[in-house]
Amino acid sequence: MSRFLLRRALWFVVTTWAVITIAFFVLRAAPGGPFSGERKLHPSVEAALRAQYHLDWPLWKQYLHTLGPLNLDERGLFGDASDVFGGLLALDFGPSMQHRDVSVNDALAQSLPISITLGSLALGIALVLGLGAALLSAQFPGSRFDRLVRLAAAAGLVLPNFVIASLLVLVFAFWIPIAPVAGWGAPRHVLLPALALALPFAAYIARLARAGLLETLSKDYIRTARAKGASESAILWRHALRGALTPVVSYLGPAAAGVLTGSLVIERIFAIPGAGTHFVASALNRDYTMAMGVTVVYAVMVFGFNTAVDVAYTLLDPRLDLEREA
Amino acid sequence: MSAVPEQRRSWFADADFELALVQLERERPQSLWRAARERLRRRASVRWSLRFLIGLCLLSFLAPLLPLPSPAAINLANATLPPQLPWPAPGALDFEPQYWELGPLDAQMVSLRTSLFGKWRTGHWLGTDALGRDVLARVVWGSRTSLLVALCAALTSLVIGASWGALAGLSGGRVDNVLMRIVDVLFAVPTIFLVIFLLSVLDAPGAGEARLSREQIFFLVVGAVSWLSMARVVRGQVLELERSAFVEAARAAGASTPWILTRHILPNVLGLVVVNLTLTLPSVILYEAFLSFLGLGVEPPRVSWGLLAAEGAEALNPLESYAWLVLAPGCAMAATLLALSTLGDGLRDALSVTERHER
Repeated sequence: MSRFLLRRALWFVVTTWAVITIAFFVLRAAPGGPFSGERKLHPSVEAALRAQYHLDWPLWKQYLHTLGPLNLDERGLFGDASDVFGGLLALDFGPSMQHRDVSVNDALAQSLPISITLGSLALGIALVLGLGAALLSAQFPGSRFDRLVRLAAAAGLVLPNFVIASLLVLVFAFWIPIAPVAGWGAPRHVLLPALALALPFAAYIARLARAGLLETLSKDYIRTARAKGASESAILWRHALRGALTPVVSYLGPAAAGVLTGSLVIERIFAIPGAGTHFVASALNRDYTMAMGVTVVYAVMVFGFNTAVDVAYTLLDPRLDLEREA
Repeated sequence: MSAVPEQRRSWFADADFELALVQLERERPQSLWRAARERLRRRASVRWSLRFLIGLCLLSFLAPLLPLPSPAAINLANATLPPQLPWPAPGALDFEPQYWELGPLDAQMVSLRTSLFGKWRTGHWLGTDALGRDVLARVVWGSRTSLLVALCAALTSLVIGASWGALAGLSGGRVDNVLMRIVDVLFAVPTIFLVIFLLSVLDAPGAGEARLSREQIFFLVVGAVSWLSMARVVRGQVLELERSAFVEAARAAGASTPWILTRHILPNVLGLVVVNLTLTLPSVILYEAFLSFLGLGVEPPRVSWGLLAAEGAEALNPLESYAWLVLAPGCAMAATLLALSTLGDGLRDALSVTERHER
């Protein structure tokens, strides 16, 4: 296991570097810049701004400056050396180019916790709803409840999430007013967005888990357990669920990374100041530093969850050996 | 049964023999595809999904030919008409051929339509939107965009994704490692960055006359980001097959590599590819909706289901309910995606070899 994790850590460094490099050059290759907005700036003002953010440097120097670890500006290695380490290796994303006087670190420190709170709540709801429905439905396959679950799972996957969110608002904020329409701050604000975020995931989880459960229930070891006289509930909870969880876990890995870094649509509809907004806004406004910040956060999340998924496999299925697979 | 030679019959009592033959007939090995087709045909839900999808494709292809109102003609006097009762609403004689820039084939179909139906158009069966445009016409025309996006994504996942995965799985070793690491890295870059990058590079004003239309760019972009999971799935399946006992057996029996590829690996991968396609198409159609919601989709006055649903969702409010604006594209989308995933499930069940003798 430790060898596997070590290899993974090594790959993590390489992958993150590759992702950073791609994001860096992709964004700079796109036409326009952070200061080519609607309002045309005076050339001297724009030049001063570009100089302040080092956009007047050659590209290789900007790249090295972004990546770190050596600070290349006047306070860095070749200047007065008061602040030698900078860039991503020092976990310093620099100042945002769109939001003046805000550093990317601060912006992320403000918005990420909100997204993570909302996201983990939604994941929890999705897991409880999805697994619960799948367990009940696999216990009585073909029953009326089973058909209902299959229908609901299908319905949750065929509508865009902004439609689901709008319908939820209409029903639970206006017709049966139990939750506020939008906003963030009080616990009751979390209810609708978390539900809207969770429903499609719950539907997918229910589908995966139900199929997995039905497949596992036809395995030989379940027959053995039955023959030995284990109760149906013990078979379901102790033996079948474990095998059925594998597809759910492999789906959850990437999905969790997406949910925790913020859902753009949900954040926009419910006016939540989460991190999802930064993804689109930074790329559209060519806010290079902010884009780099969210890229790194996203890549770390994706990589972390994928590794967690691989570790979870071994817990679920002891026949797997990560040392060999890696 | 008549093919049984006479002299052999004496070996068994007749009744036993017949029984054995019937048994044999039932167990006769069927080709994977024939068995799958047989099993597919037996499921009513799959039959209906297939019919629905074929009908939808025809409808969206023939949209310019149908006597629908124009999807872009603004008529503020008719704004936000609800779906009319009695249904279907009576037609009218005020058709104006107002469209965006159409391709040559579509333009010809439109002129054929005017010579066929003249100024007659169907009534506002599904109501009108805030600018008085007919919702039914917009949903039908919108299906063209959404289906084309799905088609593009399907083609790229087939061409790039499947061959990428197959190449990785078949060559193994270092090539496999490099190819799959590239996929890993691309997975870790937020998709929306690539989308925005491609959109802004390809849509740059400097590109001159050879510039693609915004719609074509959009198709390219969605295609470019949708092949990754196909590559992963195909690689996994190829690897598993390479290691499987029956491929080993074929190799031991002296089968050549091309034989093993075409006879054993390809048929087994194809099933999975088809299933994966029917399951990625819904997610691509939903992704189109997501991009339209962000204003990164097709440009008005062109329409897509995503754009219609986004407009409809915005118009949902408790005071004045324009529910049909979201219900019409929503139902069209839901029915299509449901049909696609039913088809996918049916195909998966039909093609899964292990369940061949059940049912």
